Amino acid sequence: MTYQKILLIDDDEDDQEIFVSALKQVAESVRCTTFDDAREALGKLMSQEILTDLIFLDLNMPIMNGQQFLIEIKKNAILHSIPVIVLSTSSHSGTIESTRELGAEDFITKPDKFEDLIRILESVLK
Amino acid sequence: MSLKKVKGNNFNFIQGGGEMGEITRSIDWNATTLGTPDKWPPSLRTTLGILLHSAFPMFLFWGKQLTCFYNDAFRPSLGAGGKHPAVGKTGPEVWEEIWEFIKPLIDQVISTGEPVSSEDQFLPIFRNGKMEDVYWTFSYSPVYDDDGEINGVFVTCTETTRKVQTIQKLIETENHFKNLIREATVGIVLLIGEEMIVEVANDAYGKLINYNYLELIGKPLFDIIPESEPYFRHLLENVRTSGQPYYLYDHPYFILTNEVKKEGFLNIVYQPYRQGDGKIEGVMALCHDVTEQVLARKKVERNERRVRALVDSVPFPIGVYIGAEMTIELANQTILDIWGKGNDVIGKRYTEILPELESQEIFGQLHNVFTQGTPFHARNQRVDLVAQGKTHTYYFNYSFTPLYDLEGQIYGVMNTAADVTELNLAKIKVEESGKNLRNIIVKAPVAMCIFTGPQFVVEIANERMIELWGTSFSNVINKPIFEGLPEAKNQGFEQMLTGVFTTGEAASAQGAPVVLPRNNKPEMVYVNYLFEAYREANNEISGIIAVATDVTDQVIARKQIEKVVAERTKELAEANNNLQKSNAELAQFAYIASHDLQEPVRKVSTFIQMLENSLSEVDERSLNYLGKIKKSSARMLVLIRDVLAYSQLSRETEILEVVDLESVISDIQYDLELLIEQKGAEITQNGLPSIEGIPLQLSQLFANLISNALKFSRTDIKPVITITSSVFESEIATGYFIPDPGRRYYHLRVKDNGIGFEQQHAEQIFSIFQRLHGKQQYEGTGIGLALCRKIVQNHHGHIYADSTKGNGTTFHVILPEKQISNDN
Repeated sequence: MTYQKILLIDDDEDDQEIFVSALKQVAESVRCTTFDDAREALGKLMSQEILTDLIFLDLNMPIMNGQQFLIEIKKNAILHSIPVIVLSTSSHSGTIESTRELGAEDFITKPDKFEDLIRILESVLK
Repeated sequence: MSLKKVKGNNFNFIQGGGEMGEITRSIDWNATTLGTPDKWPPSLRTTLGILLHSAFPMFLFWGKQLTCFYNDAFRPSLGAGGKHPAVGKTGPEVWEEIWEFIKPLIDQVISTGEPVSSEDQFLPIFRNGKMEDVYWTFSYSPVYDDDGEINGVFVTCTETTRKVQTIQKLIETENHFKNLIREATVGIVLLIGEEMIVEVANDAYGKLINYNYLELIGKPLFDIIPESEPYFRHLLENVRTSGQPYYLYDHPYFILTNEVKKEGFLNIVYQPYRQGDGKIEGVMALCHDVTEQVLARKKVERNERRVRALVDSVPFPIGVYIGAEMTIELANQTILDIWGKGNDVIGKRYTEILPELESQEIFGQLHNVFTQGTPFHARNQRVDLVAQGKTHTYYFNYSFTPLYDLEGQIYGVMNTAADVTELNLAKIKVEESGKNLRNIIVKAPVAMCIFTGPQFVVEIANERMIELWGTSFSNVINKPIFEGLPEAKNQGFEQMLTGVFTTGEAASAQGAPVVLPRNNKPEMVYVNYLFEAYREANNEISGIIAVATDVTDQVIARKQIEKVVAERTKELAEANNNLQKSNAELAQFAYIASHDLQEPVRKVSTFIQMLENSLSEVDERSLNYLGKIKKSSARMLVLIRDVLAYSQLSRETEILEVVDLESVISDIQYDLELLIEQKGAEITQNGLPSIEGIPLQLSQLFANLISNALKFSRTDIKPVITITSSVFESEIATGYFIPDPGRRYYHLRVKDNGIGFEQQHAEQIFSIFQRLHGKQQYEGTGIGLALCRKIVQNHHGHIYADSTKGNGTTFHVILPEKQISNDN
C-alpha cells in the first residue's frame, strides 16, 4: 500500500524534525503534515480541511494526548478508517496493549538509532 | 247346738255304720223337716245305708233343706270341735264358710244331673277352733228319689291337704335349693350318669366355662367342653363309681372359646350325688375360681425369689433375723463370708452362730431394735469375729432396722453393714503419719504451710514461708492467716482459699503479683503459688496445703527484657516502615528520572546520526569526536534503560504466573540467535521445571545470565552453555539464604566454559555497576548481575556464582516452586 499523504501528531519539535528527515530518506514523494496539537489536528480532520491516508501519533502530549485522540477519531464515521500508528517513547506493555485496544494499527517505540527509524518507515510505507 | 238324741230308735237300715250310725240313729228326726226315718223314702234309706257302711269318706245333702249326713270316714275331716256332729243339720248351716263355693256346685248337680268333681281343691274350713287350709279331692253326684227326681247330692271326698302341702313344700324346697345353687358364687354343676349330662348348672359355672348356664342343661358336659375331658373325666368317673368325694386345690384348667384360651386355677370339690335309694346317680362338682389368688401368690413367690436373688448378689452384708430369738431367715453370701459360716445358719439363732459377740454390745443392740422399734446405726465399730478358730478384727458401719408386718407389728430385724476395716486401719496409719507430714513440711526446700479449717488457721508453716510473708512465726502460727498477715487481705486470696476449701479444686499461679511486707513496708513481689485441698482419711477437706516460691527477681528481669525488646521492636518497625517508604520513593524517583532522562539522550543519539549522514565531507578528527559522542550517548541510553529496568523491579504488584523455564530458555535462544551464531556457541537445557513467578523478570534473569555467558566466552574453544535443574537439597545451602521449611525449591545451574573469574570476586560481581574488566574489553553497564540478584530476591530465592579463572563459571539460581501470595 502506498500512502501519499501522511499526518504526524507529536508535540516535540525535535521528534518532528527527526521524523520528517527520516521520511525524506525513505519516501520523498510522500507528503507529510505535522501537528503539535492533537485537538487542532482532529478539528482540521473532521472539517475535512486536511485529508490523510495514514496518521503517526505520539502519546504523551498536553491538552489532548494520543489515547484521547484515538478514541475521538475512531468515533468518527469517516475518519475511523484511517490507519493510526502510535509512535511513542514508552515501551510499557500495558500501554501498547491499550492503544491496540483503542484501535491503533501498530505501536512503535521511538528508536534510539536513526537507521532504525528509517527501517521502520520503510517497512510501513512500502 | 246338736239335735236332741232320742234313745230307742230302731232303724235297721241304719244299723252299724259305726259312730256315725249311732249318732244318726239317735237324732230326734221329728224335729226336722225330714221326719222320722220310717217315713223316709227308700232312696234316702238306701243311700244312707251305703254311706254309713262305707269305709271311704262320704257326705250327703238331702232334700230341699240339704240336710247333712256323713260317715265315720268323713268325720276326721271335720276336725275336733266345731261342726261335728253335723248330722241332721242343713247344708248352709254346716258349711257356712264355704257355702258360696259349694252351693253352685250342688245346684249344678241338682239341675243338670251331671256329676261334678275336683282334685286338690283348696277349700279352707272352720275346724279345730279355727279356719284351716284344707285341700279336697271330691265328687258331687245326683241322688234320685223314688219319683225319679233329684233330691240330693252325694259327696265322696278325701282330704288331700297333707299331700298338697307336702308337694308345695317340696316345690318350695326345690326352688329354694335351685336358688341357692343359682346364686352361689361357686360354680356348681350336677352331672348325671356315665355321660355326665348336666342336670343342674348355675350362672357361676356358666361363667367359668364361658357359656350361658341355661344352655348347658341336658347336654353332656364334655360335649360342651371337650378340651377338659382328658383332664377331668376320669376324676369324675372315679367319684361316681367309688362314691368317694375328691378334692382339688389350685388346680390349673383351661377353656377354649373360639380358639381363645381362657386359663386359670380352681379349687374343686367332687361329691357323689345319690338318689333317694342311696344309689349314685351322678356327681356334683363345686368349682371355685381361685385364679387371682393363685396368681397373686405366685407373684409374691416370684418377688420373694427375686428379692432373695438380689440380696444374695449385693456385695455388702445383709441379714434378716426373725422373732425375739433372732432366727436367721435370710443371710446373703457376703455376710456368710464375713461370719465364716455356711448356708446352714438359716433357721438358727443369731446368738447361736456368733457366740463370740456376746461380750461385745451387738446382742443388746439387736434386742433393743426388735423390742423398741428404733433403728440402730453404728460407725467404725470394731467387731471381732471367729472364723475357723481364728479371731479376725473388723471395723463395720452397721445398721439394724426393724421390719414391720401388715398389721404394723415388728416381726424381725434387717441387718446391713459396710466393711470399713481397711479404711479404719488406714486411718490409724494416717494419724501416725500425720506427724511425719509435719516433719516434711518443716524441712521442705520451698515455702510450705498448712491452713486448717474455714478460717485458714496457720497450723504449720516452714521458715521459708515465714520469710516469704515477711513476718515472724509468733505473728501467724495458730492464727487465721488474714489475721496474722493483714497485708495479704483484699488481694483475692480470701475467695481463692475459700474456693479450694469448698470445692476441693486446686488453685495456682505463676509470677503473680502479691503485696507483702518487706522490711516492714508493703511491697509488690512476684510469687509462684499452689493451693491444694488437704483431706482427712475419710476424704473430707479439713484444710489447705500451700506451696510457694518468691520469683520477684526473675519477674523483674523478664519485664526489663520485655521492655527493651518492645522498644527495639518498635524501632525496627519504624525503621522498616521508613525503609519501605524510602524504597518506594526511590523506586518512583528512579522510574521517573530514568524515563525522562531517556528522552534527551535518545535525541542526542539520533541527531548525532543525522549529523553524520548530513556531513558529506568530514575530516578524520571530527569523525573521531563524533564517534565518541555517539558511543557515549549510546552508553548513557543503555545505562538509563538498565536503571529504569532495575527500579521497576521494586514494584511488587506484578501478577504471578506459572512460568515454564524450558520455553523461557528457548525464547532467549531465539532472541539471541544472531549472537549465538556469531559466537558459534551451543546452548543446551535439561529438565527445567515450571515455577511460579513474574514471567518478564524470570525471562530477563536468564537472558542476562546467558548473554553474560556468551559475552565472557573464550575465543579459542567452542562456547558451551548448559542450563540444568535439580530439586534443592538444603544441606548445601550457602550464604545468607535461609530456605523456608516445607517449601520446595529448585536449584538451577547456568554453566559456561568461558573465561571465568577469581572466586574471591564471587560476591562483588552482583553489586550494581561493578565491573571486573575494563570498558574497552567487554561491553556492558555492569548492572546486569545486580539486576539478576534483584530478580531472584523478588522471587524469594538465592543466586551465587562458582568460578575458576580461565575455566568457566557456574551461576547457581535457587528458586521456590511456588510463591507465597497474599491469599496463603
